[in-house]
Amino acid sequence: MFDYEDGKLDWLAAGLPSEGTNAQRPRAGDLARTDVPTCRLDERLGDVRDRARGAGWDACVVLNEERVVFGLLRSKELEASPDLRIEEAMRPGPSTFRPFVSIEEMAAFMMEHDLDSSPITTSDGRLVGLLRREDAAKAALELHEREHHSNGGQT
Amino acid sequence: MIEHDVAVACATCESSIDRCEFCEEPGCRVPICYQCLGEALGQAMTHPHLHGG
Repeated sequence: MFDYEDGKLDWLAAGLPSEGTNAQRPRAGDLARTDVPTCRLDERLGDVRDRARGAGWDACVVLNEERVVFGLLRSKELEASPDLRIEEAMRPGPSTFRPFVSIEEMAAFMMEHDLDSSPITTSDGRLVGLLRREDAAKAALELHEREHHSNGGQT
Repeated sequence: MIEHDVAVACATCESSIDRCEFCEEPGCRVPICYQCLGEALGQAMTHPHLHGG
């Protein structure tokens, strides 16, 4: 046995396994897409846009060598001049969220704020994946329906 | 021309902020500050009770 000195929240923030009733509920880290395109600061926007769209994405996460999130390119940023370098085109220091955040909370926030995608990172900023609103909303709805039925239709 | 962020108020605690911490959009209808967002999503640690537990 050993003590994890950084605490329970940091353990969960690293996406490490947990037990108990709440561990069965889907969380942001469970649904974040790990196949999201990534790029480096010194790449050319046109190249990154072609690569992202070729893979069926309208977003790209900007990382350093240690997979720490430096920026984000959503559809608006990908539309800029193809000759820009990524560091000139990206949205720097985007808000990121931890893997343990409830999928219902993330879905509600993403819909309320009309946000298509949110980067999910560990507490030290390393990319876990990109959570898409449609995935979050679908999971939240399924969870709600499952719990509604298990309660005999009572909410 | 230099663009300056326009101060807005957090929809939860009414503190003055430069932008919504969730969507980062200047025209957000429901802007939220860093602290309120952290608490809403369970990302922030609340202060422990003085008496413990």
